[in-house]
Amino acid sequence: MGFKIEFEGGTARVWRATDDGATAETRDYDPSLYVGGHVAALRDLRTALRDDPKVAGTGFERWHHRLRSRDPVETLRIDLERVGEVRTLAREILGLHGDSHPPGTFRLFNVDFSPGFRYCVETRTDPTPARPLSTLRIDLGLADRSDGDVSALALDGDPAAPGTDAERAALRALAERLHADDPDVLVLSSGRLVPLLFERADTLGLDGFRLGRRPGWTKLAGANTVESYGRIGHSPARYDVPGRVIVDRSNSFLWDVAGLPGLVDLVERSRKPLQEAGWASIGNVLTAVQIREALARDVLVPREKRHPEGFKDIDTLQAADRGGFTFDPDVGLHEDVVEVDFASLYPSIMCEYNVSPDTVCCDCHADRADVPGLGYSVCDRRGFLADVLEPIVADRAAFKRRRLKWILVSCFGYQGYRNSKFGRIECHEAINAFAREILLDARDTLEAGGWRVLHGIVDSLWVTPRESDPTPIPDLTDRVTADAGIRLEHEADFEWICFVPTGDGRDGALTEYFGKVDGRDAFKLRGIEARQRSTPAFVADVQRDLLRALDRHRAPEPVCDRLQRAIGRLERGNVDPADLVIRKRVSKPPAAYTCRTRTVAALERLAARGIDRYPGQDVRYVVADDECDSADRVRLPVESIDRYDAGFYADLLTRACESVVAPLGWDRDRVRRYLRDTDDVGLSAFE
Amino acid sequence: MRSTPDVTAPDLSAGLTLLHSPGPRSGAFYRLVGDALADARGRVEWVDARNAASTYALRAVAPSRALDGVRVARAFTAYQHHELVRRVVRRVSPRTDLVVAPNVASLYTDDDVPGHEADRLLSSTLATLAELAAARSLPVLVTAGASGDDATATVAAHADAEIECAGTPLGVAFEADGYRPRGYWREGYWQTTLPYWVDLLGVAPGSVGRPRPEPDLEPRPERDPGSRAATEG
Ligand SMILES: [Zn+2]
Repeated sequence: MGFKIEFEGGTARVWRATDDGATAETRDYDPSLYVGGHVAALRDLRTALRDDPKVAGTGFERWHHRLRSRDPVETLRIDLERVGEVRTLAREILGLHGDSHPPGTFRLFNVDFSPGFRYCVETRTDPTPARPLSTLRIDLGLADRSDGDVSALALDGDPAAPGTDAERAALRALAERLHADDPDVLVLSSGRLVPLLFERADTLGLDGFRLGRRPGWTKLAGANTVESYGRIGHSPARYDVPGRVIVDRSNSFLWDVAGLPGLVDLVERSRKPLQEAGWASIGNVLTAVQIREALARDVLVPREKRHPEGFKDIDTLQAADRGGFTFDPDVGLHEDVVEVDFASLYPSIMCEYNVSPDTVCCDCHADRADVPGLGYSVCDRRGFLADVLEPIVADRAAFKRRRLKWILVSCFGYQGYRNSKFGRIECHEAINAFAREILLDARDTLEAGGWRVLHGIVDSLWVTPRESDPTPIPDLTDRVTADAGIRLEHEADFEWICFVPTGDGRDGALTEYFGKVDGRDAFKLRGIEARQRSTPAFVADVQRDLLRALDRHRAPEPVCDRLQRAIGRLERGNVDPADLVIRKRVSKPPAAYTCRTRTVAALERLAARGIDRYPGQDVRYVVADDECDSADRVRLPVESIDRYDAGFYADLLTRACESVVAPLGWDRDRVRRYLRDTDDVGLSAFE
Repeated sequence: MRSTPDVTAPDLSAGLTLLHSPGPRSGAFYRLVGDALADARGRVEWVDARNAASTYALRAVAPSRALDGVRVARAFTAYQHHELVRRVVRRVSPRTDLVVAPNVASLYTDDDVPGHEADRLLSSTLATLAELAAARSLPVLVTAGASGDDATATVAAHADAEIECAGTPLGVAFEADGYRPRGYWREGYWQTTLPYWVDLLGVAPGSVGRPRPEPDLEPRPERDPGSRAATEG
């Protein structure tokens, strides 16, 4: 029902997928927001809003204001004429109307919902499509788009108008395709294709051109820079066409990760319509899942968190701040290593131990110390998070396991996040405390079974036999699983594994390791260059080659010999520049860069071609001459690349090699010394 | 933290004192607060923002005995901060020696609070702290922690005294200025190099004349000798 919802004036247009396309139905729709406060103040507010043209109606209702509340509270409901005016009215209530009362008098609820999601939860509309949706992929290269030339338009990966150069032919082919296939979802290489296609059709005099099931298009939101989890991201403008869902591939993390089936699954769980789920972050979708659950419990969603954490002494503060479990890695190469992991540790703790904002530090069991090390109580009543998470944890077949785990772990992080609607710091602390306790108990069990723990982090342990005949791992994982109530899985066997030291060489880096998986021609890598997104393909390939050399010889010298050969190939100019492309995320606007970095050089070259990049977007470049501090320092992949800086890339290779041999005690100087001492023609001639 | 020259920070007197600190978690703040905690014998209520209450930093500047009486609650939004300040009013007792609220204006500049509402909330928070300090004759130490000058000016408008501080080759230099008649510092400028030379050369402390705060209006009981010692987590 209702896979696409559009708003016009005071109405909602709900598109329903049918056997032969889609039909629209227009309905009156008055969205609601809620205000809490002293009843006298609420009555004043109600009177003041009587003549506000944005307001369609008001009424008093009883709702819970917090997850932990026992009794519902008298709350003012305000219905609005238009969904686009909710935030405006919210600001006015706090500013204009709040002035005659002490600050903080009015508490606002159900303010920051995306419009489609709001419609679905308020009218109990299920946005899950009634049948599988059909898609059409529309691509246009970045350079063509910035030139405003649509002749190279591709439909589902094929040129729209092969053999011609004419934009008109491409647009006609697109129009015919839309008419013939009537797709439900348009998957665009960039949302900016929407205004561009209409503009070109208009200029070229193509009458009646449309992308939607009805004429026209709208811009829903302008481009802006957003910050999420402390990371800067670019959110491009959002466009809409009637009757079809737009997916902007340049701005859909979830489309990349989950594809259409995964997105539809999330639509079903969250009640966020497909188009909104497409541009949402995972945290955003999980917030929607939580909002649904809260509303189902008659709990309103606060505009902002007001209830602070309690006062703590320094010892409790320190215990609570300890964070996830870590067991410093034993730097070096270890043979015969087993990795065991707790499956979805944090969400399992929330479900299994009933840790939730509404159960931790409950008043009714205040005398109990349920949380290890912190002494907080956890209520016996079933918690909110268990209700939210259990369907997701139980239904793991719906996603690939890794994705689900990732989604769940990110949800956990959300619990401590300041903007999280239902997050509570004591809940976050309790989860960490349980996690530590579970990991420490697991370590004890494994050690008692004859194993030595080499490394442990968050939800994983790496162990090696301490004696000749240790208790078999499956017996021990069963024992730990029974004790913890959370499944400890036998994740991998390693023929050997290396834990990499930190840059100063003193400690082990917590998340840098690589190992050879037992019985398979495969390596598992974490944190080292070949896994980093900025690393050029050539450097990553060479590092894997170095790993193979390490696997064969288990000594640093043969690894450095392989490095020597790779450097030789670079210096002779035998490397395809396409394999030397570096990808970097833009962290600030071009004007804000004070140093002349390679990124700045790339941004300048892009700007010269009329292409703007925003913070959060990527730039890609090949380093041509690292000594140069003008735009000539780099080349762009779209340019014909006439040169690369072999010395610069040789340095990258040397660093990549250092990661591989550092566990064996060789640092960069040692690698360099070895290269210098063995630098003869003989070696590089082997190639 | 102790590696800088051991210049003595000014004592805190009753009233709302604004420390102009160079950053949200500056060394100057920890120096001043460390000395104040070492002097405090009863309870200290700490309303935290922007993670200033780092247990690592506090353990570095104050003896663990001095941290026994400290109670910290952290705010992450302006509304939570406002609410915590109101709770502090209810928590303060004759045993309370000090209230600390680092980065007191910081959360009010976040864009999740509309500007007008934020201004009113911040004024209310500061008025509450100033009234609490006056009514209980209690030192309340704040830093502004806001990027904007407006918010800092709002904090200063409510403050009974201000302390400037700056990094010097000899460590952190504090300058107490603009104190009201209720203030206790008899010298407008805190000559931080003197105590430094005292420490270094062993000059008689009496020659430095470090002023002490006048006795509080309400006598405070000694700390309960039976309370437990702080232990490392
Ligand atoms: Zn309970």
